[in-house]
Amino acid sequence: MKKNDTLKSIIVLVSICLVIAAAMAGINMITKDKIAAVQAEKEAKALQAVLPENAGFEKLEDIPDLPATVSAVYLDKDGEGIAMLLSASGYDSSNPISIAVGFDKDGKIEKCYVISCTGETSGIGTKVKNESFLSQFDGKGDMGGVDTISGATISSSAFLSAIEDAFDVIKTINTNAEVDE
Amino acid sequence: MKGLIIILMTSVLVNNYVLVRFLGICPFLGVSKKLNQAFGMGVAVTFVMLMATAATYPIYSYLLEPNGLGYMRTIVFILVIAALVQLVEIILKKYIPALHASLGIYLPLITTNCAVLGVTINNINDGYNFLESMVSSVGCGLGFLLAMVLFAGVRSRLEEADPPAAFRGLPITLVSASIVALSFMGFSGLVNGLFGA
Amino acid sequence: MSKLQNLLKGIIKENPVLVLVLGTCPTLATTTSVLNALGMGVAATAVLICSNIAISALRKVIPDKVRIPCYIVLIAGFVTIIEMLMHAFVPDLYESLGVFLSLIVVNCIILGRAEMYASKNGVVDSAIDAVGMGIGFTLALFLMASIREILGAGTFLGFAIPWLVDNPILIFGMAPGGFFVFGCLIALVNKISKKKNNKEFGCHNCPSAYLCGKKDENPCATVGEGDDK
Repeated sequence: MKKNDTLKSIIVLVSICLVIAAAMAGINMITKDKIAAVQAEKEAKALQAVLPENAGFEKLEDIPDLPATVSAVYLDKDGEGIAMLLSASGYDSSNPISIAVGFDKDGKIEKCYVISCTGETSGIGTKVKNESFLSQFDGKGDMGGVDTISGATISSSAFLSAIEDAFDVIKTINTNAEVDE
Repeated sequence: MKGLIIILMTSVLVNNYVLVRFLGICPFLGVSKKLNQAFGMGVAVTFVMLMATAATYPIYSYLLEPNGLGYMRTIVFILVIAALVQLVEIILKKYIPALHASLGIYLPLITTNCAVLGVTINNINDGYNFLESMVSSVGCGLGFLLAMVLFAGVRSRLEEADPPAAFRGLPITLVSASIVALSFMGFSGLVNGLFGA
Repeated sequence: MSKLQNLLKGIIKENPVLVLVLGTCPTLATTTSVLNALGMGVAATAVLICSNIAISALRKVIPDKVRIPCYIVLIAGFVTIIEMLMHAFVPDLYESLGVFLSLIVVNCIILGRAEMYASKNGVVDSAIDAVGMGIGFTLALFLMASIREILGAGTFLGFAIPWLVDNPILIFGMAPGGFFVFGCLIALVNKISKKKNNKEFGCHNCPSAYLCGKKDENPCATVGEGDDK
């Protein structure tokens, strides 16, 4: 009797696990492509926003010493503009601020765009989305004259250091290009 | 090394699990009445967090992730944590009864503590390696312990206070938790200030 | 108890957040904006309904000894499914709820209702109970998020409120504000219901206490005894 009970417990538990695992695998199959598509669409929209006059983007692989904050680098197929996707660890390190930034051919910033900053405190850290903060980067070739937001130092300084890293990357790319020529 | 110290300081003070990130509020409010109980609970949580990370990190990075089963992590982690807590309790009871007598009673409560599941999931989300994950879980545990001990001290003062009738009990406890949380906001620029990161 | 009463008890008399004080972590963490709070409430309600129905349907099959692991597996499965669906169809909300979406697994309300209600009642009653509790949870979150978003950011559902938006009391949006607003709301509920015995936070209203093994061996029960000195 007792042995039967144990056996039954094991069978029930294992079958519940199997059914749930199967259901999860099923849902995963349905949603996987959709999730990837949503992500891709979001990135495409961000790239479009930071370099409006582009002829499509080409992802640049194997850039040496890519800083942790720079998650992807894209080259404008037509001109020499470069767009980057950055992730800046602000208030919540597991939910970083996701930024897109576009550079023109002289290595000057064309536009900054915040893809998401949901980890930041609403009303404070989310000020990095404000046009008044983002517009100070327009046309900048270095970090001179850009400031953090007072009261939202953590989020905005994370943002600044990500942009600084992006400048480093753009310099590396441009130097390498000159060497090639 | 500097990176590890930053992770430790961040998880103990800046991103304190209880007071900044709101994880593990139930034991924070429930078991913080007496200092010794608060301390026992804090130590038990730190211990389980460390064990749980040591167990879940390899499972995720060597078993789930390579096989494209990353979405299974919630279910696997919670089962691993539940089994682990049971195992620790049995081992403690058998081999170190003295420790079991002081920590054992808190262990079952920890299974459904969101701070423990939270730390294992956050370590994965943060992209930490094994060592960093371990440091981060010790830090989160110590942060929990610190919050518990500090709050137990504050609550012992509350015993003698005479708040309005409607505020007696839980409401005044929450309001004082709010003030303790306010003090932790002072740490928010600490890591940037010290390490210029 | 009629079906209507069953539904309403979760909303008012046994409101999981304000009266039973369960699920405090998501209550404090996701109420910085009304939209997040509603998202959290709806996600938790969906999980609660699924898990209550499944557990109630399987209550005669699941052996008593392994019931808790079974519940946890079922709940974690539903949470992951909801999580994946949200990631696919409402990605912004998915990102802003972050880790708290996964943490619905350890939300006391869900395991608590499974243990205290669904394991003893029929499928229909359990479903109604889940809907009631879910609405109660969502409403409490909505109430708290409204206060915090209006005062803390000067907006409501993202729309700016004149004057307040220029003079937000930022602290309401941050961690201390969460504790403070929650404390005040519970004080308000105490005042309205004119409860004689003041609530003390403890394991007696935490369902995990039942899971900790036998209720008498529960550490919190002994904690309570020494308190009256």
